[in-house]
Order: sequence, then C-alpha cells, then structure tokens
Amino acid sequence: MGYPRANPGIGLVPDLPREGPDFDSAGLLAWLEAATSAELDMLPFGVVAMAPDTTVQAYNRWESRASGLKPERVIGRRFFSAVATCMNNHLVAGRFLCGPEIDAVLDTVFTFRMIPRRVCLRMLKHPAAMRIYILIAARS
Amino acid sequence: MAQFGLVRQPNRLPASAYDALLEFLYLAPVAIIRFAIDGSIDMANAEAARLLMPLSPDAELSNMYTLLSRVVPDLPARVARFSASFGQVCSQVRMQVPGIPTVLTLSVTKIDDDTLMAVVQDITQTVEIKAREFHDRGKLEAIYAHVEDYAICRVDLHGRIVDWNTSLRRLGGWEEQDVVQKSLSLLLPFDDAGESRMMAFLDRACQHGTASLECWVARKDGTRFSASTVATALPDGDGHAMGFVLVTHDLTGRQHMNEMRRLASTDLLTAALNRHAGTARLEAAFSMLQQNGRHFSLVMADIDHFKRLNDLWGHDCGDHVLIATTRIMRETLREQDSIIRWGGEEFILVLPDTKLAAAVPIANRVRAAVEAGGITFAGAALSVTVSVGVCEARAEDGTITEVIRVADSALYEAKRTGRNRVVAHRREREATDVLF
Repeated sequence: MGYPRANPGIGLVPDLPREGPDFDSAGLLAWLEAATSAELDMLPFGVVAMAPDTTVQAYNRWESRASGLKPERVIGRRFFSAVATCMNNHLVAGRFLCGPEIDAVLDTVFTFRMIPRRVCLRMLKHPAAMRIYILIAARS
Repeated sequence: MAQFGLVRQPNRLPASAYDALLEFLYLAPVAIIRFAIDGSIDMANAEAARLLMPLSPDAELSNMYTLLSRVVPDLPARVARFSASFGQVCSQVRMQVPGIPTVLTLSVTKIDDDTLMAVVQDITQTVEIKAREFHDRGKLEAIYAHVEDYAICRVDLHGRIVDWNTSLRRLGGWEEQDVVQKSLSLLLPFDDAGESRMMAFLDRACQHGTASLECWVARKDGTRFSASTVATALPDGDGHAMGFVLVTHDLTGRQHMNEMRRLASTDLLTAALNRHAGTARLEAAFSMLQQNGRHFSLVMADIDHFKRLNDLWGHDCGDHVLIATTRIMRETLREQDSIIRWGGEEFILVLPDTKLAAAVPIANRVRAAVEAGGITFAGAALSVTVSVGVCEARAEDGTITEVIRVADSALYEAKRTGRNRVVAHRREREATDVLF
C-alpha cells in the first residue's frame, strides 16, 4: 500500500538532489516533506515522520531494520508513548513541545532490540511543515 | 518530561511471536538492564534509556557504575561486597539527582558470578502524592491539635465513626478504640430516640449538603457539654453522599465569656447593673437620643432612711433590703427597662422609648410596689419606701451627666417634701411638680 504521500510545505523549496541528502544537509526538511516512501527507504539513516500530534506517518526501512519493528505495526501509533518510549523524556520528546521550530542534533543511546547502540539524533520541526521528523544515524 | 497519551490501536496484523516479544519489551514500563560485574551493560530496554540517559554524564549507556555515579556512587562496592553467586544485591534504592524532581528506585539482582540485572522505576508521582498527603496530614494534624474548642470526625452513611484524631481526645477524652466503628450517638446521645434522631440529622445533611444542631455532647467520663454540631455530606464521584464530616464546637467557652461579661457588669449584691456598666448604658441611650431621636426617661430612686435601717438592724438587713427592693423594681418594670445601682442605696432606672408622661406612672408603680412590698427581716416586717425623681432626657441637655443632674434634683425635691413620693421635673420653668 505504501506510505501516504507527503505534501510539499509552503515556503519550503526542496533544493537537494533527489538521490538522497545527507543526514546533516541544510535543506533536509523540505526534501523530507516532498519525499515518497520509496525515497525515504533509500536513505542511509532512520527517518520517523510524525503528524504534529506525534502519530507516526512514515517509518523508513533503515529504522525498521534497526528496531525490528515492521512499519505497519508502528504507523498510526503515538511515537513517544507507544513506539519508542526511550525517547519519551525531556531530552527528546520534550524538545518538540518547546516552540514551533527545531533543528537540533543530539548524541544519545538507543536500545534497538534491547542492545544499547550509540546514535546521533536530528530533530526537525517547522511551522510551514506538515510533519515533524526524527532522524537516527549510527554513531561510532 | 513529555508524556504523550497512549493511544490504543487494534492490532491490524497478526504479530509473529518475535514481533510480539519485541513490542512487549519496548513498551515495558520498568527499566531492565543486564550488566556484568565490571558494570558494562550488554542489554537494556527502552525504559532504561528513557530513565537513565538524562542521568548519564557522558551520553553513554555503556557502564552501569558510570551511569549511576552521581546517584548511587557506592554501587560498585555493594556489588563487590555481595559474595554469593545469586541473590538481591540491593532493593528499592532511591535515586534522585539534586535539583531534578524525578525520583527513581533501583533494585539489583545477581544472576550468576558474572551477571547482574537491574530494575529501575520512576516513582516521582508516587513520591509527590505521598508528599502531598504528608503535607495535608500535617496541616490537618495542626488543625486538630490547635483548634481548641472544636472536634472533627468523619462518619459513614450509617452514622458510624470512621476515624479518630486528637481533637476527640481533647474535647471528650475519647481514645481511638472508644469511637472508631461505633455509632455517632455515643457522642451525641439525644436522650430519647437517640439513634433515629441522629439519623434524621444526617439525613438532613444528605438532603441539603449540610445540617447543624445544638445539643449535648457526651464525654467519655459521662459528663456532657453544650455544643453546636455541623454535619457536611461528602460526595463521591457521582455527587452522592458517601459519608459526613462532623465539626463540633464546644459552646461552654462562649457561655463562660457571656458569664464573665455579665459578672463584670453586674452589681454583685443586687444583680442590677453596676455603676460602670450603667454609665455605659446611659451614654448609649443618650447618644441614641442625639443621633436617632430615641426618647428615654430617667428615674432616680433612693431608699428612704437607709442609714437608719443599717444602724438599727445591721448591714445584713441593709443588704437584704437592697436585694429585695431591686427584686421588686425588677418585677414591676418592663422587660426593656434597666436597673442601675448607682450608689449605696441609690438606683437609676432607664426607661427607653418612654416620654415623661409614660414614665411617671411607671415610677409611681415602682414606688407603690416597694411600699407594699412586705419586706421582712428576721421575722419582722419592715417599712421600706423609696423617694423617686423622674425626668425625660432632652438632646439639648448636651451630656448624660446633665440629664442625671436633672433627675437628681427631682429626687432631692421628693426627699425634701416628705419622702415616699415621685417628683417629675417638667423642665419648662425649671420647676418641679410634686405629683404623688
């Protein structure tokens, strides 16, 4: 069935090549807003796209492999309370409550499949964007 | 800390056993960590990351001892001290970072010589609730301990006392075992039909939310005190009464106050107002006249030949005559009239809302009643009479002292012209009329 197609946000003009941006690219949010599910699945890092009320709308392949959770088990659930509770604290989830816009990077540890794994998180939120995003990359 | 609500979703696809297990562990609401003797963590669930990452000094979840170095710095020592191969190393150890409201507990179990498992739980809410309860209880205890004349207790719908506190001991000498689960009628005896009257009282509280009554409250030793009791219905979630709070106010203190006030203003011998209180009464009456135009008249009465009476019969007789005369005057006067013992054998009667024309007959009734009073002493009949001066107060008099002076001059005239008579001061011509 695929994921719901993202709408390009007003004022966000994607200017990155569609082959795939980097984890820390400047225009990443706009790109994500316009990305198809297939495009998300191509990325070398995890993408969780949520509605503003934190229900999961997209859960890409990288993330699914890392966590062991199938997308269909996750989509529609509230992310911080019902999927990835490890992030349900002031370090991550709390930041989404602070203000209308965020683009922040955080070094932390996830417990994918109960094994602690170093990750780097990027949190993206913008008033013109339809969705809010958490990106997860492996950290050595 | 962000806590988004849990949204229950129907499981749309059958989960494999592995999927189910994974989700189960991801959503477990306690932190579970497995670590080696040296502290190195090899497995941890999501809740562990959630609770412990904020504590981590280095954004790592790699070593238990490092992770908890700020909150349980002696954990390595505790583990080292635990010599057995398995068992509980520590249980429910409180962990709190200073300045951060979160409170966690840690329990560590040794699984084998190389392996330990820790469980961490967030008890912040429980702690907050307990702290609030403790604080509330502290406030209640302070109320119970310090509100002198009040007792408070709770009763259930059947009128059984639910709990005890120190106020019940203070007011009634009741201890916990005396009252808990006993009927409220133990404290509120309601001499006849006690139980049903008590239930009727609670019924009223049920209907109107609150009810009050004045009644006797029993102490443990069988004595009673007069009290005012208020029952307030306690509602459950649906607004139905599930019990009552009773507050009983010991009125004895108030009665004592009234008693003290009365004693302070009463002439000890005759029970008339003493001069001090009488002055206040007179001043009040005069200012009512000046401000509101309320009339009043003054009657000054003086017992005739009182000194001779004392000399002949002794001071006991004199006292007896004073008491008897006051009694006769009280019986003769109206409710609203005041009797002031102004001097040794001299009285001022204050007649409110009374003008001269009405005051004079009253004064004469008093005079006649004393004369016919039939006062006896030591078996002998005494002849007791009073001389009386009457005047009506006028605002132009300026002060109450002036009014008294006017009445006094009428009294003097009564004495001068033969005693046992009423003289009214008519004012117009600064002349007095002998009326009786």
